[in-house]
Order: sequence, then structure tokens, then C-alpha cells
Amino acid sequence: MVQGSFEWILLQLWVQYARYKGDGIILFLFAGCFLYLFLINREFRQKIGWAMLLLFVLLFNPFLYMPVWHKLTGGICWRLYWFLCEAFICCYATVDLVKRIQWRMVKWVPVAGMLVIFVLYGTNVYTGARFLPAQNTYKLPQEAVDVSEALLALDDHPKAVVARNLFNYIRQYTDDIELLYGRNIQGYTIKEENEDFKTLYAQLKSVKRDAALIATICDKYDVEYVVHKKNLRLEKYGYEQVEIVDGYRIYQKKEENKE
Amino acid sequence: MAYLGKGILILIWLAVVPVFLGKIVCEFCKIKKNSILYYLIGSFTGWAVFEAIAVPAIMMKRKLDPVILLWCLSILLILAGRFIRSLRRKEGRIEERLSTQIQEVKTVRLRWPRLSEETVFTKMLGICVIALIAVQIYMYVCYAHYDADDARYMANSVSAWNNGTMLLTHPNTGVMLPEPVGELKKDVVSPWTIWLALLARLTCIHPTVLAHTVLPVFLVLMGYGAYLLLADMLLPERKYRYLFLILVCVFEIFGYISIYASATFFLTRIWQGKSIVAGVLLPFMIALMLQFDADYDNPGWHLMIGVVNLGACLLSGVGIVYSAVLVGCFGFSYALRHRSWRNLFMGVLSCLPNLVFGILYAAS
Repeated sequence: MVQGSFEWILLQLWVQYARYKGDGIILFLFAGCFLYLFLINREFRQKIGWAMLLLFVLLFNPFLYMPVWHKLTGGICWRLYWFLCEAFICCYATVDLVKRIQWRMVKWVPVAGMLVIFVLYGTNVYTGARFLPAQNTYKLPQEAVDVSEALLALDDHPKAVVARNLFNYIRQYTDDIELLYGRNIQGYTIKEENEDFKTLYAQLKSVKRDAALIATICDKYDVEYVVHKKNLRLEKYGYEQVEIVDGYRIYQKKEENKE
Repeated sequence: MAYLGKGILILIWLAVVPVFLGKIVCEFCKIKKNSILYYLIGSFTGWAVFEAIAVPAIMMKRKLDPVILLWCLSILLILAGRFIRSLRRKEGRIEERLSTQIQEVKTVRLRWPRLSEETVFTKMLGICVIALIAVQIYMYVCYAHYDADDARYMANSVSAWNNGTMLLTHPNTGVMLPEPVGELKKDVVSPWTIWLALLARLTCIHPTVLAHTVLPVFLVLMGYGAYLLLADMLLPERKYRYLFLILVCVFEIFGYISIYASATFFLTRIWQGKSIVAGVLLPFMIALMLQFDADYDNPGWHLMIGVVNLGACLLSGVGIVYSAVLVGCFGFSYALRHRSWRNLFMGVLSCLPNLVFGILYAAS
């Protein structure tokens, strides 16, 4: 399938929809509520309905996908679904129905029904591992804060290689620590092209590590500190362990190995 | 004492200043007064002023300090200008106004209001709304959500806050850059992270603490303020507005249908610019357009929408596009209904900031 062809575009629209929709119930609910409001509520139709319909025709239009939306969104087209404003449409439709029902016994059934649908077919954002009790006001893992403080106690502007579950957080805490690589090694921000860095990252990730190679690369790029949790021993290769913080070994380059 | 001082600074820059700014803009545009509208408009005005100052400064590789100075001066000028104008206005001397108000108070008979069943029910709904919003704020303040995108966003803010460089430091490594490269190029035109650094300097709070713990409180309130504005326009009875808000709260809490859903962004990482687009900007713009439709002959709305559009450009590249598209679709629909091509043209003009920054964004 050629990129940019009509079939490719339809596939992309489907892929973006599939990414966004979850199990799809909420989007079907949205469609039903929008249709209800558009057909039944004249005020909604005049003030919002026609405008949103125009919006949908423009947004989910295969002929505009490549020349407009793909370029404007940088290819991240699932964000177009934010325009649906499902919360507003579904909730306003429910309240509108409640207003129209005169019989007191039945009046609140749509509200109860909608709440049941939200709870049963949605997912509570606060469950799972998405939220953890805050360990500090920075809302960073405490180990990242502790390792940063330990490095700053050793040096005002340390240059370090840190374990991959730390490197996303160190520079959110302090600008004074220079890292050899961070999330860029995974292809984000500014993609890392240096092969030595990629080798080093791969070595530190793997179970069977070549400590000599790790130390050589670190030495080549003047890395003074190596911070790692697992069984990594650099004592024979010009680094000495100076501290253990939250299970992370902090290795410092030996004095005689510094230029 | 330090916490008290920081608390006062937070209230000044995140509450008091936006309300006053919003009041000034609304009065200038001759728009109906509403305290929630003041706050939202004032916040977007502050962002708009910052966008106009910061983007050229970043492109010229200036430091953060002059940007902070210029922004504060601009805000102070706006506030001072309004204050001087109010002193000159012949609205009656303060003593006369005070005595009029005292007379009005004397004529009020204090009566214990009789609470009808309806009023009690409405108040209960109102309490439910407050409780649900309070839960969401509590989760933001006391719990942590770790997001890998902050490795770039917050690192940019911390660099700018700590050493004044704006997008000239590699956020992941700390290496100095000759110019913004890679994904940093997108942040040149939408420097929300630099705004966080400015706020951190003004409130003397670390940017990561500000973004993760303090700012979400205000941003969540802004989001629900936008929904309340929507409800005000569409639902005349207070109990239905509260009911609407309760449903929105439950929808947002259970709205994690995927990691891409707008509810996900609103309740897990509201401090990021694109999340503010999803959770605050979109409902707010719909509310603004409804208010514009109700007051269609007032040309002041185009200026206000232009200011909000400029503020939206600060948030994210998504904000540049989405605010213009929304204004365009709603504006076109209203122009057809009211048969006013002049207003359609004015609406297009109000999207000029989006056009300018959109071109810069595309060129980056």
C-alpha cells in the first residue's frame, strides 16, 4: 500500500480511531447523543450542531487528511478526536432529556443510566498503576531525587550515566547534572546518532554486561559517575564505588584515571 | 513563613492578576460581566502577552530575564492603565458611592429564607459538584503520575528557570545547543514550558513542583469553569447546570477509554500544554462562541477571540490549529445564520495569530 494513497489514508483514519476509542462504547454513546441533540434540540442544532457537523466533515475527510491534518498535526491525528468533546455532548444530551421528561418517577432514569454506562464501560483513571502516592512535592520517584542529591554532593556539575529508570527524572529535578544520554537514546526529543552511546545503553540494559566495554566508553566521553542498580562492577576498570543510594551503586572515576 | 509567602505569590499570579486582567479585557470589549469568564479570559490574556514577547526572544536567542521583565511590565501597564482610567471617570466620588451603598443596606430587611424542597435539592447537587472536583484536585495534589514526556517539558522549564537559557539546552543531557533542534523546534513557537519557568521565578517555586503540584489545582478549576460557562448558556435552571457538571465530572473520572482520550490528558497530566488544549481550551472556545452568538452585534468579541487564539498558540502546536479551526467552523455557521459576512471577515482576522504562528510552526 503506497503511503498517501486513498486506501492508506482510510487505513490511517481507522488506525487513529482504533487507538482512540478503547472498546468503542463511549464513542457510540457520543454518536447517539449528538444525533439526539441535533434532531430534537433546535437551539443546539442552530448554535452548535451545524458548526460541529461542519467540523467533523472537515476533520474526518480522507481528501483533507494528507494535505491538511497529517501536516498540521505532525502525523498525530488521533488528537483530532479531541474535537468530539464527548463529555459535553453526552452530558448535555442527558440533562436535555431529563428536562423534557415531565413524569417525576421516570425523570431521573436517564441520569442513572448514563452514570451506569460511564462507570461500567469507562475506566477509572485513578485505578491501576497510573497514580501512586506522592513521595515528594516534585512528584518524581524519590530514588531519582536521592541519587541527584548524592551526585550534587560529590560534584557541583557532575557528568553521569544513569540507569534507564532514572534518566527521565534526573533533569526534571536539577539542571546541574549532565547526562551522557537520556530519553533521546530511545529516539525521542533529539534522536541520538552516536553509536557508542547506543552500545553503552544496550550494554547497561542487557543481563550479560561487558563491564570493560562500559568503562571504556564512559572514560572516552569523560563520564565521571556511573549510576546503576544491578550487578555491575567497575572497580577493575578505573571506577570506584563511592556510595549506594536507594539500591543504586554510584561509581566515580578514580583520581588517577582523570586527565 | 516561606510557605505563606509563596502561597501569597501563587494567589497573586494565578488568581488575582488573571481576574483583574480578564475584567479589563471584558470591559474594553464591552462584554457581559461574569467572574468565571474574567478568570479564563485573564489567564488567556496573560498567556497571549507572553506568547507575543517570548517567541521573538527565543528566536533571537535571548535570555529569560528580559522576557520576565517585559511581561511583568506589560501586565503592570495594563493594570495601571485601567486604574488610572477609573480614577478619572466621573462615576461619583467615593464618599457618595459609599453613602448610597449604606442606604441600600439599611433598606434591606433581614429575613431567614424559606428553603423549598427544590432549593435543598439544588444545594445538594452543588455540594456533589464541589465534592467531585475536590476529589480530582486532591488526587493531583497528593498523588503522582509519572509521564515520560516530562523528560523534555520539565527539563526545558528547569533549564530556563535555573540558568535563563530558553530551549538552547538539550533537555535530556544538558549539553548546550547552538539553536533549538529536533522536537525543541516545536517548542519555539509554543513555549508553554518557558511560561512555567517564568511562573516559577515569579512564585519562587521549583518549576517541577509548580507544574506537578500547584498548577493542576488552578487548571482543573479552569476546565470546570469552562464547562460551567457552557452550562450557563444552555441550561437556565441552576439544578440542571449542577447536574450537567456532576455528569461531566463522572465522565472525566471514568473517561480513561485509552491513553489518547481527552479525559486521560485532563486528569493525568493537565500541566502539559496539549492537555490544556484538550481539557480547557476546547470547551472554553465553544462557550465563547455561544456567548458571541448571543451578543452577535458586539465587535468586541472579535478582539476577545483574537486574544484567546493568541493565548492558545502558547499551549502547543495543537492549540494553534484547534482554536482557529473551531472559530472558523462556528464563525462560518453563525455568519450563514445571521447573514453577516462582515462578522465572518472579522472572525478570520481574529485567527491571524494562528496563521502567523502556524506558518512559523510549519517552517520549524
